[in-house]
Amino acid sequence: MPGTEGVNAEALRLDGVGKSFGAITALHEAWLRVADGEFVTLLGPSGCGKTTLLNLIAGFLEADAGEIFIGGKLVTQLPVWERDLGMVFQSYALFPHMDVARNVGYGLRARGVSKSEEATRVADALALVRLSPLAGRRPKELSGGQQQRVALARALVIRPRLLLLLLDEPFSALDRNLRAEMQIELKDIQRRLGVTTIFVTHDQGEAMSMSDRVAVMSEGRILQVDTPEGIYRRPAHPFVASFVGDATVLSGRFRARDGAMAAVEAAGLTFTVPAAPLDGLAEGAAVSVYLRPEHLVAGEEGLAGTVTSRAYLGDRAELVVDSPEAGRILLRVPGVEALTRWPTGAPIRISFAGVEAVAFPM
Amino acid sequence: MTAIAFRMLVAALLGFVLLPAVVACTAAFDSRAIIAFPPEAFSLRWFVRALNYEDFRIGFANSLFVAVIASTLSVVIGSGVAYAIDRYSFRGKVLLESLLLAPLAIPHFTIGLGALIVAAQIGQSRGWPVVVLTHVVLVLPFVLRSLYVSLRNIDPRLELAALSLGARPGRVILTVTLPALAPGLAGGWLFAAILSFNEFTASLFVTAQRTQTLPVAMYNYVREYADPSMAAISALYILLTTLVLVIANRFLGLGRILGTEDARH
Repeated sequence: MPGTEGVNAEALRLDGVGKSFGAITALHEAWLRVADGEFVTLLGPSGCGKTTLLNLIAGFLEADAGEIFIGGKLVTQLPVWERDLGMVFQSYALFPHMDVARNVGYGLRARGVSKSEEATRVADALALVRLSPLAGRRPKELSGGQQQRVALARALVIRPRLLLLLLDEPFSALDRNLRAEMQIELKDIQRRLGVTTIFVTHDQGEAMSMSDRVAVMSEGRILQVDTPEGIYRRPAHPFVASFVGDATVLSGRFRARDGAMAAVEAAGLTFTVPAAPLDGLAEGAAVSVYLRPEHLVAGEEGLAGTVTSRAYLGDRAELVVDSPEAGRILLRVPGVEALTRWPTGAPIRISFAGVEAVAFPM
Repeated sequence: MTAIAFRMLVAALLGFVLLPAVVACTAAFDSRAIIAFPPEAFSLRWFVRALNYEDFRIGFANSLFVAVIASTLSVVIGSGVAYAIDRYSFRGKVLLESLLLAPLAIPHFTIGLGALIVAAQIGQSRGWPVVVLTHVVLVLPFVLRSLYVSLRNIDPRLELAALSLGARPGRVILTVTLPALAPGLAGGWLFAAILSFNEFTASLFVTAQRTQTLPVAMYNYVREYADPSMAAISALYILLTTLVLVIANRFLGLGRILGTEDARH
């Protein structure tokens, strides 16, 4: 590893990178800085521009605007093969005519590494992903999880000089248990190697559990870049609040600002919310108040309503409550309690005592 | 009952398709000097005569030569054109595509006649180039189709993955695209070789005494003699083609050769 880079070197920097396809803007000016060793996820629904952004970073697409820096080096005009990236594709994209070892060694051979060094590094990489016994197999003789590991080893073995590993929705083809296992394993390998990782997904669970920071995208824009906790507890945009986690949305009125916090009123109750998204609002302006279902408590006190539907999930249940004052409210209760106390049609009262609410101008 | 009826229908169809070949092959074993069915006495003399007949020997060598050169040229030209059609968009692409993929619209004798006229104009009417190039024109569409299907079956992410691993585009074509295309190339080549080997109509126009291919030599023979040598040659033809196909199927899989496997998902 070259020792010239500082500890807090910047692995990736996007300076106003944009891309249009004809009249359609796939990506509006994107700004992002990723520190060395960081795991950053691009999260958003299909068509939000996350894959376009990934393809721009990889060099599969050419940016219309802005500059891309990898490891402090300007790469906007650099072709894919000179960007020194490891990439794992959704379909794994293993070369079908090569065995596992040849697949893993492909990037080394492209770099003109000697045969003996290739053999050593391929063996190390296969050991890292626990696939050493399968070195001689063809990709089609492997399970989905094994193929994924080969793809990972192939991307890591080249030790991308700029320590950037791009993953393109790599888990969606695996079944649920295997996914969780691979997530833990990948996160572990990523931490041990300290390889900077950009991860693209539409699965918020994956994004939350694996990332140091999450960039939430919608309609070609990066709306917020923050830690998983920040994204969930302090969403900066109504889309972020509704896309990440579940939320009940109440219509309310802005009341007053008090330092970093502000008071809003909805359903006859007053909520304390972060003031930043409400900057410049006059008293009485219409706002949307977002509440998390796990903060609401079902019981004998509070806002009255009727249970209109109940989804039993084992450990917990999700209730939809219709309230004359507030409209439709989503809350989560323990599974057993839901079975015994809250059948469909039951009257219910909801307490908002422990609520962490956020509000946005309507 | 319907099962029996169905089997009989299948048998009848098979019989109908195979009848001419069966009759010709059987006639080859007749000892008499006329082509007749059924044969009266078993003999291999017409095989011996066919294999020893000078024009057939030369014709076979010529056919082999033309088939190998023409199909190799078609695969080289075809892979370039198929790659261009699959990966790039350019003016006239649709026209080129439909022209090359719709060979049946132009009869072989038209192609043969045209090639002969052009060759005569440039003083090449008695040479090999006109024969080979005519065959290239005839088989190219089939090669192209086979390669086109193989190309469409390649996952484009394979090439992207190779590029991202640091391989230059030329290296990617050599180490990823071509190997993935190999069955299509081999299948296309084989298809072209068999078609060229069997081609008669156009060859009749463009071959001379020195360059005549086996089907033309057979035609010339039939105009003068009516003995079962022809039937013997037919039997050998079928045997050879079957052998080639069986071997090819063994190593490549006929589904891939004929391009009947699924297209890109």
